[in-house]
Amino acid sequence: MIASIYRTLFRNVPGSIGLVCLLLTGSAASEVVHEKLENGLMASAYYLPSDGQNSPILILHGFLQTWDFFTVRRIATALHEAGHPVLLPNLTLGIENRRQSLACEAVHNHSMYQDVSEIAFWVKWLSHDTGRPITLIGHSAGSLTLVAYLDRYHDAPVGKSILISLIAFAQGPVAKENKKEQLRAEADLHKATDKLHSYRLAYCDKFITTPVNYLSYLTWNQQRTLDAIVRMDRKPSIILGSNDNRLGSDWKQQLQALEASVIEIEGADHFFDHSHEFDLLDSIEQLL
Amino acid sequence: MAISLKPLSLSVFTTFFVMVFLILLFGLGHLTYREIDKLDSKFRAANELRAESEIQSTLNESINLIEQQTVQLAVWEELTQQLNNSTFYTYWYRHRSKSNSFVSDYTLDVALYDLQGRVLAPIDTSLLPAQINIDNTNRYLRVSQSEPLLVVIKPVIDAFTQRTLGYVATINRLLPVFNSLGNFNQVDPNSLSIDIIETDRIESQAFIEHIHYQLSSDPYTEAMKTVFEESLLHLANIAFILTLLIFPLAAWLVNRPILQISQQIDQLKKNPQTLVSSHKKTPLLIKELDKIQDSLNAYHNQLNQVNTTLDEKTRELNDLTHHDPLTGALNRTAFDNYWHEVSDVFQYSPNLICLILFDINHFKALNDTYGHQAGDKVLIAVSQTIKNIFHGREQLFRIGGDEFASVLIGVNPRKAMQIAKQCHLAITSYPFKKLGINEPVRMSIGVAHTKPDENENINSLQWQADIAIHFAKRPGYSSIVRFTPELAENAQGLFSNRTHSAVYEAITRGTGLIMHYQPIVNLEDGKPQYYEALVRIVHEGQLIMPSHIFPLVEARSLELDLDRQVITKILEDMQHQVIPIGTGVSINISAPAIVESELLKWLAEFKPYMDDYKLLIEVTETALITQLQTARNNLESLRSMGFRVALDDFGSGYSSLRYLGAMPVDVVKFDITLTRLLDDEANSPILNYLAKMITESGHLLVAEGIESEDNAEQLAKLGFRYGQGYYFGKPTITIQSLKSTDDPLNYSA
Repeated sequence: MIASIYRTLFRNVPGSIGLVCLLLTGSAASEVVHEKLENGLMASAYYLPSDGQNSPILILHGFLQTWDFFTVRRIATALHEAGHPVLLPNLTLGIENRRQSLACEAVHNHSMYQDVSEIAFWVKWLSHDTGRPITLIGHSAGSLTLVAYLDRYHDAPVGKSILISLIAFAQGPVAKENKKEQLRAEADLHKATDKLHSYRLAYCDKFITTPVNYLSYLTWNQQRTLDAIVRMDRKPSIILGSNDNRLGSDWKQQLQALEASVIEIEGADHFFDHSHEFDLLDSIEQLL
Repeated sequence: MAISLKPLSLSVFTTFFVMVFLILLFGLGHLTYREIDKLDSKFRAANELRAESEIQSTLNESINLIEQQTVQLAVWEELTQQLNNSTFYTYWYRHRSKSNSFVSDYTLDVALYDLQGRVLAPIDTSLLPAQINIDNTNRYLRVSQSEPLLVVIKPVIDAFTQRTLGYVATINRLLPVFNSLGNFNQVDPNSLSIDIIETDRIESQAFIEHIHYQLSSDPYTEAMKTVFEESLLHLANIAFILTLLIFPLAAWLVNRPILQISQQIDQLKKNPQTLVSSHKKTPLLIKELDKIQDSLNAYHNQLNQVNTTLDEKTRELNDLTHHDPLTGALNRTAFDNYWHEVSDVFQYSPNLICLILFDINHFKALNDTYGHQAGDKVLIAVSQTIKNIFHGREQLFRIGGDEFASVLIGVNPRKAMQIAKQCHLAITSYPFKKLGINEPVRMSIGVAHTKPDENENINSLQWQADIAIHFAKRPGYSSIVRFTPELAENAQGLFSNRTHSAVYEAITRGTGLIMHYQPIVNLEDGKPQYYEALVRIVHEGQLIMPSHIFPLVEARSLELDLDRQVITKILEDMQHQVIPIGTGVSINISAPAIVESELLKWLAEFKPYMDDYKLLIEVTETALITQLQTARNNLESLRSMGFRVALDDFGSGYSSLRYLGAMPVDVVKFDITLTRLLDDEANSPILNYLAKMITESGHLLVAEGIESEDNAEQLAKLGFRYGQGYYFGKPTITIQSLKSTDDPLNYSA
């Protein structure tokens, strides 16, 4: 419904310009929330509160990104306009109040465990703020982090989860190399745990981190992800683009085999840009 | 004081004018070039100011940009990450600090410091210090190997809490930024340099003093200067070409005609007799110059004509003044001039010179017998005959009444004697009968010649010729006599060579001429009344008396010259008061001088002495005065001037009574021959009657030759008022202080 209105209004306008307009209209109610995490780091989230009774939504960005990444930002804005309180946390990735995306070559002093913990913090925070069950929406590796979160926190106050462009590490074109990297990391792990190494992870050819941290991500491969989904009581909804070349060729079939709701948007890539954003929003609307 | 300037030629003036013009042109060009240069300097000064401003602004902009870049770096979250946890700082420093989007290529190094200013981890290769002063985090410049580096230190602040987490420092190459920003208009970026090699810290404002650069060429200024210079060069070329064209044209139009006129003047100077034809002249193309040339030609022709006329008149006058109007021969004046010239030439170039004197024998008798007209015809015939013999080769002078002379130069004595014989023969053969002369006319000829090898005085030649002709007239001698020293010995006393030279020198130059004064006394009281001035010549300590002077003077017709010298001498004596004041002086004037127009002028010089002296002019009764009227007029004029006139030597000549009647005479001086009649009883009545007659005619009588007291008394009784003679005093050079009478001369009897 909302997507239809947007589409009607901005059909002849490029999607990015329409998004800017939406951001302007919704920005009045937005705020940046800063919270100190249990590990001592200050974390921040972009919060779009709403007085409506719609389900509060937590949207998680992709790998090394922030809430400013256009895919998640568009979804957030649209859903906020639709009356959903929306929280877009930034994973700290070991940096206080991180607001910038982190380069692959930067020192990555963070792990999947920390990320999951931060999601847990923010889910709790949103749930506390809204008093209603949370709908989780993730994009790309953010979806994987949500899977890890759901796998770890079975009692999380989460109603629905929508995983957009869900991806697992060691998947796709780099799967083979990641296998070697995993072996190298495991070897490095035995040498020294606190030494930085350069590994291949996701789209990063040089991901600088410790073996422990590296393996915390890399071990979330396709199988572990599928296993985690299998273990979920409430199956997530999964939205994929038919032209997403970052995914493994059999990933869609594997997900569908899990009885998860898998929606494939024809022609969309990993980021659902251009006109596919409307299809994405329609799909999310349908799922909500 | 007048400065005499040497005139310059027209070509010099023209060259000078061209040079001045070119110098002015060059000066003007130079001034213009200097003005252009000044303008260029002004532009340059303005450009230098703008360049300084450009350097200043570009430096500030560069520093600000680098600083801003560091500020951007300071908000990079990886810095926060490192400051919060520096475990992997070394890795981050090596792999991330300079490989990120916040750091530019010109950033050489980055370092992070904690709140105490300590670097998070010391890096050996770091260009930044291990410790920074957090109290002074101002940017500063550092120079390493002449490379200016900008060090910027910025705090890293937590965006949420605004808490300072630490510091980030960058060190950056300044020049790339400076050059990339430098939109230089006035500065040549390739010329930028600094004169500091190494320094750890220098503030940006101080650093600017060390930046050196060159101004970039301003296209507008350069173009304008080039245009100016090219224009100036074009103008100079045009002016030079115009000068080359105009000056030859002007020279052709102006100089050429003027030079042509000048050359014509030079030509006319060389050939003043040339007549200029107006048809032959080259047109000068300038109206005024044509007019000048025409006027010059006309003036020249007129002047030529006047000159021709003047020459003719001069020739005529010369003929009149130098020729004897009767015979056509050259006269005495011409002879004297010619002789003077010959003397001068002889002094420097002794040559063989012959002097021939011709004298017609008994010419006075011829005159008296046949009358003056016949005498004149004889003179003309003689003159013409001699001229015919000379054939125009020699000149014939009439130097006296019947005397002729000729000067032969370069002719030896033998040849001269031949010519003399030819002349004598021709005269002897001349048919004087057709002139009515029945007696034969004979001529005496005296020849004298120089002997160059004996260094003799040419003036003695006249004396020698006189001696020769003297002997030619004497019986027993040939009519043609050549002077020899033996003749001179025979003529000693009459014609002394020594006397002749001295007299000639005294008369022509006044040398040795002195005056002796003889008193004329009052016969009643014997006191001197006045003095007669008598000429003497002192030569080699001896006196030459008038008896030797006057024959030569008369023979050479030097009376005027002698009188002039005598007058001059008496004036000098009066100036020196040789003659006592209150007396008087009597001056003898020759017959030729009496009729001389200059006489009055000469005697006018006595006017200042008229009050103190009695002045008398004595005219000798023996002198032959041919122009009685002229003489009378002159004497009347002299009387009116204050002179009194005395007739001297009365009774010695033949026209005594005639002169007395014809001329204005105040005093009559009886000649000594009359005075001596007193001694002859038979003749004394004559003297008595004569004195009585003259006294009664109103003349004052003066007796000469008084030698005794008896004579004086007798003469006084006869009516003579004054007397002169050895009895009263001989002529002396100095006058003894005899007191003269105070009475003025009483000219009445």
